[in-house]
Amino acid sequence: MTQQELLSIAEEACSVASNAGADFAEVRVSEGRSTSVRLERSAIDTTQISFSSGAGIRVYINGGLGSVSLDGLDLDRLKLAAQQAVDLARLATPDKDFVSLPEPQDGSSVPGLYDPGIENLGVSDMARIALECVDAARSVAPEAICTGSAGCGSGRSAIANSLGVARSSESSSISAWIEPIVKRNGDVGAFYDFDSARLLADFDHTGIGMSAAQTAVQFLGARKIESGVMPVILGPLSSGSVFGALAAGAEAESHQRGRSWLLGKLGRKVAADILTVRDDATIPAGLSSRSHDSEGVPTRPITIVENGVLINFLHNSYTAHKAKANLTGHARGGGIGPTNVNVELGEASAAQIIRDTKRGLYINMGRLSPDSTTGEVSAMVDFGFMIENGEIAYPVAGVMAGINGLEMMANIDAISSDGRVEPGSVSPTIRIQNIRIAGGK
Amino acid sequence: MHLVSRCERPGIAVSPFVTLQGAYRGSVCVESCRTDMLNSSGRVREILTDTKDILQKIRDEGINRGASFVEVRLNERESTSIALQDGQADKLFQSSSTGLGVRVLVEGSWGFASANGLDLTQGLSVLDEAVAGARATRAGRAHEACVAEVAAVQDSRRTPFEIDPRSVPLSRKMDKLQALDSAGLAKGQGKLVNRVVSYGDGYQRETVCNSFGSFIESEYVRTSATATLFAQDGDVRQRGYTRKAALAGYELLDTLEPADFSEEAAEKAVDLLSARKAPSGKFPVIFHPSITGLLTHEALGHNAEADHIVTGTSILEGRQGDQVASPLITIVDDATLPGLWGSYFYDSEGTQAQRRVLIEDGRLVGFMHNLETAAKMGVAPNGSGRAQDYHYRPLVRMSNTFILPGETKLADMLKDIDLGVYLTGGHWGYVFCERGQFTCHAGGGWIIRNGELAEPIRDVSVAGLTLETLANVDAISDEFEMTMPGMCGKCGQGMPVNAGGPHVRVKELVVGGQQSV
Repeated sequence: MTQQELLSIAEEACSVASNAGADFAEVRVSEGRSTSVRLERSAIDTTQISFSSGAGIRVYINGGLGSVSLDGLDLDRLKLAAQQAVDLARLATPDKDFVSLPEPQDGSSVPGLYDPGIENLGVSDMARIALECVDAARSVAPEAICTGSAGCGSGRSAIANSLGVARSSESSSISAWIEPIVKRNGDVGAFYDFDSARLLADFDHTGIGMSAAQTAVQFLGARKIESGVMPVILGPLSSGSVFGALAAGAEAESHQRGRSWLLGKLGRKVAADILTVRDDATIPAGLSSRSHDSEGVPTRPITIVENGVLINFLHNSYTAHKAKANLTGHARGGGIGPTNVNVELGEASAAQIIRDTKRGLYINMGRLSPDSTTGEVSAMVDFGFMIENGEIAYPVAGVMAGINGLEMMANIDAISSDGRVEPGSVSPTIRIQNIRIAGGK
Repeated sequence: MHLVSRCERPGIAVSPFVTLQGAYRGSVCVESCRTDMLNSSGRVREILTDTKDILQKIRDEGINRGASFVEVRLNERESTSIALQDGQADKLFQSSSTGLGVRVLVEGSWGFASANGLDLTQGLSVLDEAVAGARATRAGRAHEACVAEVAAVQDSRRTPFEIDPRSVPLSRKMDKLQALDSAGLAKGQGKLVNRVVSYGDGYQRETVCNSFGSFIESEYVRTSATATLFAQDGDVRQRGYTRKAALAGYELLDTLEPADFSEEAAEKAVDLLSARKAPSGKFPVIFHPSITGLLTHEALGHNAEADHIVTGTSILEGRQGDQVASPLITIVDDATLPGLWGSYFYDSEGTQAQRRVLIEDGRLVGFMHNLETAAKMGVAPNGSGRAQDYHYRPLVRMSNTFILPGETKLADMLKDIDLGVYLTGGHWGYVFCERGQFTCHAGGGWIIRNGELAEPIRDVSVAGLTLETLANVDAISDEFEMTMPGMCGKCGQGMPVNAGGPHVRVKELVVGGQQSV
């Protein structure tokens, strides 16, 4: 279906809900196709092609929500589902904090989210990409056992609400990942790498097989280490867990409900001065970019943390209206979520930050995210190395990291000037002082 | 927050992890579950003859097109959920879905395709895509794929239940949640700042029609209730979490007492406020039965899934028959236990559910298999091929996984420990099977000092290496509990599982706390 046809269906179902007594109604419809191949032992295992379509209807009566989702786009079923959502909303307990669904707002389309060329790709193309990743990995480690996948997809969606919001969009994406496993003398080294893009021109899988295999080999001979308090350097595949936790912690509902680890921190320091974190769904071709959020509110850039101070919350229409705040365009799947999260880069290179660290832990992969309520970190270091005398020394195994989340954010003392570039984001290397590391030695 | 994402779908991050989430993490929003009041069960019955005809025609056409194996799977679901937050049941959800997944083996090459709806014309075009996909990628295969030959089965099974959740008015469900919530609030000592009590029920029918001549229909009714209560004291915030979920009808809720549910969650949340931060370092660790299941699932379970064995991604590859764990340990995965959240009648490939002994007295004696891994390893399939829904191909999955109880008393396990950690309540975990490195996050615990539980602790995870941890188990208690009905994620597919066991003592394990002991 075209975007216009999808929009017509959404508007028609929305009218049914309104006529049936909805105070507010919203209908989202979408359809899409995805294609993928999966690797097993360095060869193609299976191909997968999915066609999906579906609708989600939300109806509010006296603030109570009735929500119905169904697959398929049959208009008669959709109309019945709209009535069903009204019936549910009538049963729901009224919510005095609900004010309104969003009114229509002007907003321009974010460019670069759809590439018609991706629609033309098939399983053969995905198989070629996956096998090229294998060849690249095996050029580094011929015995590598590779698992992985390559896939692409595209789809269209539309949203209409009873206040006149009527928006549609189309999107595409392509991605591949590979994990070479290298076994030598009873020892196992493994790592993975990936590439993802919205546009074919931004997709380049050629390097990921080699980089993953090189790191996998480096993970042979992992050692246990002694426990201690030390600086931790998070590489580009790991640092996002730290910034992402601040962005996720800025979602307004958990504050309004009193359960956020950053409760009461708006306008206050939550991190080191060097930390400025922005969310921007309008970056052209960004992996998490979108023209409007899941309620049809146009997206716009927002600074979440500026020089270490939490300055903004992320809202959907419910939380924004409740707080009498501006809409920010962060509604996602009935809740709230960040989009492309970026941190302001620093001055020293990643290599320099490592050189400046006499002894510490380097984390290639591992999430140091504070618990969303308690704010405490207690996490396994999935893949990491010891740093000795400013150099990556040897891989580690069975290591954990623990610290209070606010302390961790305050202890960030370096953000690199360079980073891993993905569409919509640059992930730097960061250093955090004084993390409690538990080892098995 | 899910640590696992589906790499096949556009715009979603990729990850090789496999995880178990027994608990609430991240957003409290109840996602729209799956239900449809439009589809009465009566209507579904009427079309059954047509359904069988459609599935068989697609299967037969698959054989005509040269497939050596064809599997046509229909998944139909309806579900209802209620989110009651801070006393208000102001969000009601219903959802429905119906669709076909078609899997073919053509000249030793797999193809799978899926679409929503149940329609012969569309089903045949899905078959076309599956066959074309298999043929197009044949050159990229290293070996011919195969499936174990099994006898044809014709069967129809239904979850026994006392009260069909679909027959219970929403108002009655909301009243029950309200009562449970009020009881929790009363136990909160005025310290609860946010309460989320949710309910879900789901009806699912899976119909499998394959080229062995099998036609199997399994109907499942699952009901669940979850209480997540948040407490605060000064700057300290904690959550208490309790979940009850079973392959059962609404009787689960009718018989649910606040003391075992919302009051328990309230007490946990409030108690954790005065707990100290977790210690950091290497300690002897005792797992309470409520977290032993998580250890079993992550440390051993995933590694014993035979797809990891045949793909070379399990630390247990080539170890069958070896002593891989302490002789005290026997681990079983049993999909046949009546009413348990992880149980089923037939797997998504039409193989009957079974009890599988994985480790016996420390020796690795078996794996969980689907049709393909069984053929590759020369054994009989044992009913472990499960698919989340029609958009997913079956993978080797666990069901209800547990360590059998031993003979030691908890007091005797404690008394030998001068300084250690006691963990309670499995929340979430994940594992890297290829290296056998896993982690488990606990709902809480205690420091053990001089053989006794001393101070309560909070925010604690442990990590270990599979073979070392299993070898280091030096005591197993005589109790048994299986109370971790959760969702396991693997390659982006969520699957209901349960896990449990007795108290288990591990000589040493790494504890990732925030302060020294």
